[in-house]
Order: sequence, then C-alpha cells, then structure tokens
Amino acid sequence: MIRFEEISHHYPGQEHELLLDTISLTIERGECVGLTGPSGCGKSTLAHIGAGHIRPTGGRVLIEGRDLTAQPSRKVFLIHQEHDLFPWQRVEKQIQFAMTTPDAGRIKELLRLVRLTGYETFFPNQLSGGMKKRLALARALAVNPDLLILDESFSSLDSQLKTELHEDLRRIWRETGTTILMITHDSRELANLAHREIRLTAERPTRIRKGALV
Amino acid sequence: MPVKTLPVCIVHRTILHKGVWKDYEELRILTTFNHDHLPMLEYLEYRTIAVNCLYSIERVLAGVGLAVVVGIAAGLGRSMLPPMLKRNRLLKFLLEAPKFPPPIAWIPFVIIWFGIGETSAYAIVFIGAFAPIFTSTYEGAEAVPLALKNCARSMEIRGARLLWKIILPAAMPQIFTGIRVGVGMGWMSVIAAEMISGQSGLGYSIQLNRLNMQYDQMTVDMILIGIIGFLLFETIILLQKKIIPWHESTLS
Ligand SMILES: Nc1ncnc2c1ncn2[C@@H]1O[C@H](COP(=O)(O)OP(=O)(O)OP(=O)(O)O)[C@@H](O)[C@H]1O
Ligand SMILES: [Mg+2]
Repeated sequence: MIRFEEISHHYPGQEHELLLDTISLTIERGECVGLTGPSGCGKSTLAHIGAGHIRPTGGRVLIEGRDLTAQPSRKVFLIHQEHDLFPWQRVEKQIQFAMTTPDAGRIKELLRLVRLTGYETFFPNQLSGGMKKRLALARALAVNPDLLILDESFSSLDSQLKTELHEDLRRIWRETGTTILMITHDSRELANLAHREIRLTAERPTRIRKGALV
Repeated sequence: MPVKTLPVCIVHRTILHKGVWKDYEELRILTTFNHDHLPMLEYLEYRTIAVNCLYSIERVLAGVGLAVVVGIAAGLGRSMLPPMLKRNRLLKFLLEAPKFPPPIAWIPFVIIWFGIGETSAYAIVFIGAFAPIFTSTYEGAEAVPLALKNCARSMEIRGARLLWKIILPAAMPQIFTGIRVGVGMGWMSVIAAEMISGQSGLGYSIQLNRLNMQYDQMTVDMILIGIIGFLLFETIILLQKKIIPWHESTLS
C-alpha cells in the first residue's frame, strides 16, 4: 500500500503560489490507478515526490506504512516523462544493470515482451523514440518495484503498439501484481488499464477534484 | 625553387629583412637552396632528430598520462564535495587561480623542486595538461542530467558505485574534450620546457639550432612539432571513438 499523506509542494522561488495543496491519496497493492489533469498542474511533480526524488514542502509518502519521503529506493520506480536511459549502456546492459542479480533468461524474456529482441547491442541513440520508451518499460520491470509510476510512457507510440503494450502491461500486472500509478492524457489508456482515475484540478493550488474517484 | 624549401625560405626572408643575418650566413643559405632534392635535409642528422622526437614524445605521454589519472580523480572528487563547500568562494579561488600562470612560468619552481631532468619535464607537462582535464571533468560531472541521477538513485546506486557507473561515463564526452586540450597544452609545455632547460628533445634542438643560427634545421623541428602534435590529437580522437562509441561526435 502506498499512501501520499497531505502532500503540499511549491518549487523554490515560487513560495507565493502552492503547486500542490494537501493532496492525499492511497493506492492499494495490485491496483492500477490513472492520474490525469491538465498540463502543468503538477502530475510529474507528484510522481517525483512519490519516487523520493523531490522532498515535498509538506506531507509524507508512506510505503507499507514506512515513511520514505525523499528517500529513493527500488520500491518505487518512475519512468520519467523525459528520456532517462543511460546513453553509454547497450540495450541488454540497460536491463541487466537494473537487476539486483543478473538473470540472462529474464533479460531475454523482458526484451521479447517489449519487442526489442535483436537490438541487444544497440545504444539508446540508435533506437527510435518508441523503442526507447519500450526499453525504459523493460528496464523498470527489471527493477521489479512495488509501485511503478508511468509518466506518459506510451504517449508517443502508434496506436497498435500502444494497444499491444497495454495488453502486455495488463498481463505483467496480473502476473507480478505490480502496483501502477499511470499518468496519462489518453482516455483509451485509462479505459484499458486503470481501475480508477484520480483527476487533479487546473486551478492553483492543485487539488484532487471532488468526486473524481471513480 | 622546390616547394619543400618554402617554409625555410619564409623564415630566412623574414630574418634577412630584419637585418639580423650576416653576409656569410646569407651566402650559405642561398647555396643550400640551389640543391634540387631534399635540400634542407642535407645538413640534418636523422638519428639526432629521431632521438629528440622520441624524448619529447615520451615526456608528453608520461606527463599527460599522469594528468589524466589525477585530473579525472580530482575533478570527480570536487563534484562529490557537499554543496556548501562547492559554493565556498575561497575554495573556488584556491582551485581555479593556480591554473592561470602558464606552465612555462612554473619552470623555475619545478627546477627548484625536482632539479634538472626528466622529473622536471614530466612535471611541466603535468601542469600544462592537468588544468583542462580537471576543469572539464568537474564540469562534466556537474552537468549529468538530473533524470539520470534520479534514475540511478531509484536503483539504489550510491557512493563509489554511482561515481564509477553513472557520473564517470556520463561525463566522459566532456572529459575527452579536456584531454584533447590537455594534450595540446602538454605538448606545447614540453617544448617550452626543453627550450629553457632541456638536454634533449625537440625544444632543446630548436634552442641549439637557434644559437648555431641553423634556421633550416630549426624549421624542420618546428614542422615536426606540428606533425607530432597533430598525430597526438588524432590519437585522442581515435581513443575517444573506441572508449565512448555511443557518443555522437562531430569530430572525425
Ligand atoms: N524543477 C522545477 N523548478 C521549478 N518549477 C518547476 C520545476 N518542474 C516543474 N515546475 C513547474 O511546476 C509546474 C508543474 O509541472 P509538472 O511537470 O509537474 O506538470 P505536469 O502536470 O506533469 O504537466 P504535463 O502534463 O505537461 O507533463 C509547472 O508550472 C512547472 O513550471
Ligand atoms: Mg508531466
């Protein structure tokens, strides 16, 4: 169970205006929750707070009851909105590096899952935009976190691949029971994957819209 | 006049116009020019030239090699300092200011510390090459994208492993820029050092030939310095392509 407890946040130099205002939400183990809201409302910021990359100006992040605010760990893994692959690692190495113990069989399996078999020795800058996203997904699964946060991870993929990856993700989710927080603008993605939707409002400070919990 | 003698000729003309030369010299040079093949090499002793080249190359490789190891270590170390120390003006001054006196200005001190000999030559090259490598390593390490560092932190990669597996490779392109500049600085420094206090090497040869007023031989030395410097530079680019093949570089 992951709990965001009364999270408030503003970036340095923007003290006059809170970005997030006492946001509380709980994600049960094994759930897949969609997080939506207009651009710039603070979704990615919330994702970074969840992953422990940013210390919120107020509130706590609790994982299985333990306070892990601003403490990055393998329990929560965020696939960034921007490109965060290590440019010096080949495809296979990226996945191996993310594992605690290298497992050749598992690497193969993950590569097959995201359809990157045959690209083992490519560097990220030799892959297409969509392939990079798929590699980032495979790598996140190699970390095997309790909570996987996807920040618009499928947004630039073609619709067929998107559907396929949704299928895969659903299967992975069923097999591994990974909890997922999925930031998206895509209503089809929400319908395909999410159990419920949490919507952040546009007005500052951002709050969870009342009655938004589906 | 054969093309090969052109640089020699330019040097001589400049000097002749300045009236430094005696008639005797002028005569000697002008007769040299009348030879048809390899006129300027007639005076030269190939063995001496080769030995001098090797001396200079050995010094630059030793000094730059040391500067690469120490420069990268020091640059990474500096990037690991707590933010409070990084912002400290005095520390910043102490780290930045010493790189402004040119390597040649260090020569008297280096001779006091190490005497006249190979150690001093290495030290001068080291001083020339260290600063650009140190600075570019530090700046490269500081410029590692936050997304990469966050990603590594989420994989629980910390401390020495973070430095070795993430920061160092991410900073590699900038480190190589520093090494390229460092090799150039080191090469210029060793020539200068040999000119001032050497017993061998291309810089020493230039100085000796200058005293003997053998400007043609001096020109050969200058050309060799240019060629070797260029080859050193190209070697670093080759190494860069081998070591960081993932980096898209416009250099070729
Ligand atoms: N590092 C930062 N420093 C200062 N301000 C920031 C920083 N990152 C984001 N912001 C500001 O915080 C606000 C929310 O940004 P955030 O990236 O969380 O939005 P988002 O909801 O993910 O938007 P999008 O849907 O476009 O990705 C924006 O107004 C942005 O300008
Ligand atoms: Mg965002």
